Amino acid sequence: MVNQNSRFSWSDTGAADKTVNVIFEGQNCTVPEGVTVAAALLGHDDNHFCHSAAQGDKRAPYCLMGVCFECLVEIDGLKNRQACLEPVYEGMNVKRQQVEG
Amino acid sequence: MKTKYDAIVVGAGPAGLACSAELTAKGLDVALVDEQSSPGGQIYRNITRATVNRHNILGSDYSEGLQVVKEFTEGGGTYLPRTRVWQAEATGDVYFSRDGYSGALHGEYIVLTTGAMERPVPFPGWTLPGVMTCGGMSNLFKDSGLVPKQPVVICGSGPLVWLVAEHLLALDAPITAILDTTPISQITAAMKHVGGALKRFDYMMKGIKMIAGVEAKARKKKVPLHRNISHLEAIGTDRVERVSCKKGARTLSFEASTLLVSEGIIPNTSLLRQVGVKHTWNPVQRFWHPDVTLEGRTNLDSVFVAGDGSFVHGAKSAEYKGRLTGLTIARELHRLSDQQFAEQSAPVKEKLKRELLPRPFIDALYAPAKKLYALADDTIVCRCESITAGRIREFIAEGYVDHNEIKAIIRCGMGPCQGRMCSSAVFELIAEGSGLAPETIRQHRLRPPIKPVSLQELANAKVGENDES
Repeated sequence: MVNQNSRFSWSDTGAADKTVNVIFEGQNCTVPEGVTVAAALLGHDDNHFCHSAAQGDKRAPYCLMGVCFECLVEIDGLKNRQACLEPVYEGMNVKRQQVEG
Repeated sequence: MKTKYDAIVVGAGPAGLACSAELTAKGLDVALVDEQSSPGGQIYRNITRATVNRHNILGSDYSEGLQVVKEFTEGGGTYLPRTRVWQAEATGDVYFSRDGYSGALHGEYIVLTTGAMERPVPFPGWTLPGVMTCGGMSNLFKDSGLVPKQPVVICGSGPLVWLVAEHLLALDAPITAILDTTPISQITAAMKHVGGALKRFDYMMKGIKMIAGVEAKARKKKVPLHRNISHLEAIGTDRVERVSCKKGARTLSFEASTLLVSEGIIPNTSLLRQVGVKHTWNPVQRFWHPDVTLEGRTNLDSVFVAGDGSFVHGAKSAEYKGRLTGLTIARELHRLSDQQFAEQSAPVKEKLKRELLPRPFIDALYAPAKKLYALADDTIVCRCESITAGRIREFIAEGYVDHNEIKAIIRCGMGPCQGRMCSSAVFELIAEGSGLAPETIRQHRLRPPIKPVSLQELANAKVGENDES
């Protein structure tokens, strides 16, 4: 689960711990079972989650408690999902939320 | 799915758990609705699933939350996780979204235990990826054990700053600076409340020890620790790369891949405002909080508010407030006589009173700094719509002194967060520009749905059906 693109490391997840596979932007990432989508993405590649509607600049989680709405992603085709509240599951397909024209 | 209950409790933090536990213990039928996938709220987030290592780092203040979770679980109340309430009404109707479907519940009483959130304070660069709240970092660790492995700066004022610094130091995170923004002058202001606070000597010593521990460890690890910091700025192109700030006339600059900020905690009142609970302005902590009694009664007969959502007093107080509300509703529903209520509520009130002793000191010491909202004109205030302080000031100068009006014209507060992140700052800008007394300025309104729900979901909503199967 080590990923060079992340600014974070999984501090206490051992090799024996259960993992699930999540598809993020077409790429497979293996993450600990039970974590939130936000944690999964931050631990995998914390580049950004979405773009601001007004200017299209990159945004990523700010509050991680469900109030800032900066972690909105598309999960299995459903838009506006708050990544900090959704737990991961096997085969979940996550995409960065794009600004609609 | 059963839809009618004696009480619907919204929020599974210490207040919601304790309230629900008290109600089920009296034989009442309760549904506890929560956004997260496991109980605990923010303070005890992921407590039932966190590893031993996380419990060790977070300490007994975290682990003791297991007790109230256990009490609720054993009580057998209905628990609805991953359920987002997007509207509630004084009639007892609660509308929610879960797994992409919407539905409705009805409670004879509704108890809103929506907790607290970090006070959102705009500063240059705060929208850059990599800028997060201290509470957010804490949640991330509780959820997943993630720890920053690249340079991290911690900046702000209040107990949470020291707590997160303590945890990250223990985890050997590469901290490049710890920056305390508490103005020195506030120490003097707080001292007049120190007498009351010292009646909780244990609590005060715990705080002093925590700060001293962070100072000692920072010194040992050669992590710079600066006080009286202002003018925080996050610098970077696509994400934060550096942090700059001022210490008096000096400018300081630090490398950072992650910037953790915290300027105190405020009640999360979005749902309360949507329901129509009356609020009062607190001039010391400069936040709006619901106008409630000790038992959590509001201006609406069937709506109660408990926990940090009523006023930020911390986790233990939240639990006691939740219990008092539970006992009060149990009395109203004739499950407790007046005498039983008096007997059972007295010890809880006593504990709550004791828990509140240090709060005036803490509130004065960590009051928002006077210049916290002296925002530069080009600073983004509304993150969703990228609206700057200068743009908002233009409208205030024209006489618009109501956030709701400003929103209608320039969409400030109309994005996905519905003003949760900008309304504190817009309110302060209106107070600054108009000279009006804060308590006379209108609060930002929230209209349902207060959480994003697709039109299709609304159309398919199972509302009004009562399928008892």
